[in-house]
Amino acid sequence: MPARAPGRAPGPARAERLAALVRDLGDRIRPGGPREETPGRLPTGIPDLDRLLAGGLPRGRLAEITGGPGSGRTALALTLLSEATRGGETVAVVDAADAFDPVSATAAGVELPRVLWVRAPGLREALRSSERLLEARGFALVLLDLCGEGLGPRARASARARSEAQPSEVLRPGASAPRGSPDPRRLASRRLAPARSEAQPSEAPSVWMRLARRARATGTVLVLLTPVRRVATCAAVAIEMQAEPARFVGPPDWLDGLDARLVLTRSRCGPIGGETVLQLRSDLAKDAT
Amino acid sequence: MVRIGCLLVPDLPLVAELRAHPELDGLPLAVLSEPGARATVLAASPEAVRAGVHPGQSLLHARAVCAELRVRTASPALERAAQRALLDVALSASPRAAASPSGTGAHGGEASVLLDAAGGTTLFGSEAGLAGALTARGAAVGLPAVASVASSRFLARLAARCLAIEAERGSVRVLTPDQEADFLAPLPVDLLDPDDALAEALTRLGIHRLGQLLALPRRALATRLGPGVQRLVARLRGEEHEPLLPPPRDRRLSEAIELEAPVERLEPLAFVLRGLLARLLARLSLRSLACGELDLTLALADGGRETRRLGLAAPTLDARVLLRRLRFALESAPPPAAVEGVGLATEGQPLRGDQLDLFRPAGPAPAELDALLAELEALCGPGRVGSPRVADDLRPDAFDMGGFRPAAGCLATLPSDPPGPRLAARALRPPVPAEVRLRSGRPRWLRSAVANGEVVHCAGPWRTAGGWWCAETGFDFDHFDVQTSDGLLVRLRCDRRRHAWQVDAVYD
Repeated sequence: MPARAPGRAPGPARAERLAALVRDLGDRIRPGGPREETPGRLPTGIPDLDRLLAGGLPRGRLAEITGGPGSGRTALALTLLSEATRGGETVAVVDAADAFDPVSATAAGVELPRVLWVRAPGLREALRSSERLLEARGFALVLLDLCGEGLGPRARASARARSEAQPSEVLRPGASAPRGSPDPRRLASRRLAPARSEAQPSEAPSVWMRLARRARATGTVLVLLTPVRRVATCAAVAIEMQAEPARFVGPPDWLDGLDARLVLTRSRCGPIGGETVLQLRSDLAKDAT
Repeated sequence: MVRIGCLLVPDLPLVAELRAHPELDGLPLAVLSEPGARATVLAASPEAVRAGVHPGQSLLHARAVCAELRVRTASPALERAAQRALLDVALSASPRAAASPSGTGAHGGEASVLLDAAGGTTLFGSEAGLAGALTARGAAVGLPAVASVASSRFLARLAARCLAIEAERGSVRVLTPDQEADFLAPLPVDLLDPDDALAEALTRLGIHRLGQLLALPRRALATRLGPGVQRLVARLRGEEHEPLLPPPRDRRLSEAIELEAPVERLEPLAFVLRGLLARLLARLSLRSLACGELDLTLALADGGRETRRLGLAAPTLDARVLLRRLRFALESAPPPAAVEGVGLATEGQPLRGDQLDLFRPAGPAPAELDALLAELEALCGPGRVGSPRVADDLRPDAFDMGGFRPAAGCLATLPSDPPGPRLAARALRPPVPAEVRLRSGRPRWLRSAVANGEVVHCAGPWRTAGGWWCAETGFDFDHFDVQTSDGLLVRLRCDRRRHAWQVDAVYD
């Protein structure tokens, strides 16, 4: 029997049978192509947020959490860590501000033995560490905390120097806040959330694209914690945290907690604009109840 | 029935050099006895031999007949490593193997190992299969060799020596007992490498072939040529009593290289380490073992010697992981002087698979995790990478960091009720100095690099004190939870021993 030449057209009878088969299958058959990816979900531990995100943070994607100091962003991040570690996952915290508090993490339910804590001394080291962690398989979540640039040792030293050179115009020693002064919350955000150029001394937009690509390759969720939006379209999910006034109860006064408003400002897996309120209670209040 | 296998490398100095420098394969290469112009050629590659270079020539003569000749000085370290690798090959096929004594005279460059081939047919199908497997495994670790199987050590080595002279590398020969006499008959007496007196006596008697020697009456031979000939004939007939080959005692594997010029930079050193690792791992895989702890030895240009032991979380055969680990070890603590020689040694450990959990997701692979942690520590500094722990210390800013080893656990041990979102603190390390004004003993105004303004809410104080018996380590704080007019919620503390205020955390 002669060998069939490669690429030879099928005979008329065979072509007829193929056409009949295609007709019978109808819309059950379609042209081949790259299979659509439906990434798995990493539950956040907050039912309302899971509902907004259709099950949780998409695995292998970059999620960005933004917010000023006191907005509850750290509490949200610890909740994510808690949910992941309680599910048996291994997670990593790249802490550019050296601000991770093991006591708070334990109180939030984080299983500390499953957390790799990387105390990066600067932004460059933090980004490089995150990249290596994303390359290594086995980490379900990598939390990159860049909120501390305004609070870290280096920035604090420069802030102290600035503060000593130019005393605050608003609050001089021995004087109370002047009437008609700007909104205190905006002042806070101005002081603690540095200008964008100061917050990003060396990072280029391509850094986030590279990190997002690494995350996609290994299926790790990269959560970026930052005071201002710095990842443009690379983030699959963006959550903005807004602070509400703290609750003090008493007498005797104690800190009961604070409410944090969570707004979904970007999502590739569902509608945006959804919001929910997190009630964050202090350990003291929990113990009291 | 005793059956002995022999694996033989004819030109050990040449093979050892080519094993360490595979880029020289196919080039005219000569291995010299010593550095300098007075050196003589110990071994030459086939390309150099074709150009007219022969062992025993002086370097000047060799260069005169072959202008493109590459030369290397014989390295005892490389030859030792090659000999041990040859033994590893033999041990991969038989539990009893030993290196045979080095050749003498014209066969001074050969190295061989003998192994117990009895039972080899069970594993390899036939004795030819065993010999073929030996040469293939030798080639895999950079040792082109020939192999033979016969009834005694002497015959097996003789057969391998003949094969090396007349045939291509990788050839095998199996001598059954009834073939041995026919095999020996046409062989020249010189193959036995007799001493000068015996060689002269045999020539005088017109004995040039082994067949002629074996045909003579033994008693008459002993009378005329001495008991040495009788022992030789007994060996050729396979009558000499040979003790069993011993099982090896030393399980340690080592590879070393002496560099031609001192190396000062990491990149060239990493290149050398990559080659050493590849050879070491090939030998480990022959023993079905993996690299556990790795000892790195550096011979320094100032005459010093530095040895480091690198621990690994799990045995591995991944050269990439090991090389990365070595690189970071050298980066974090560079050697004090240029490096002249490098050695790697390890005791093989069984390679074990990761124990996966039915209910928990798989974490990072232990071997890769080890390299990752080393890299992160080199990047961020010592003591900055690990697993966080709640410190057993009442000091407010105390924290602890331990080695990161994700513990295998069980879902049943987890609390069933998740605590849910809770107010979290961001630590300030070190605490930020603050200027505070008081009213009725409580803060009413705050100025710091973190929070500023009038105190809107204040809760506290909560006193934390300890270490009162020691002036240096003692502490005594009053803590306040304070919200300032700029909207920040901070944890403020008064150091009662030093009369200073500090912000040590921000609630977030």
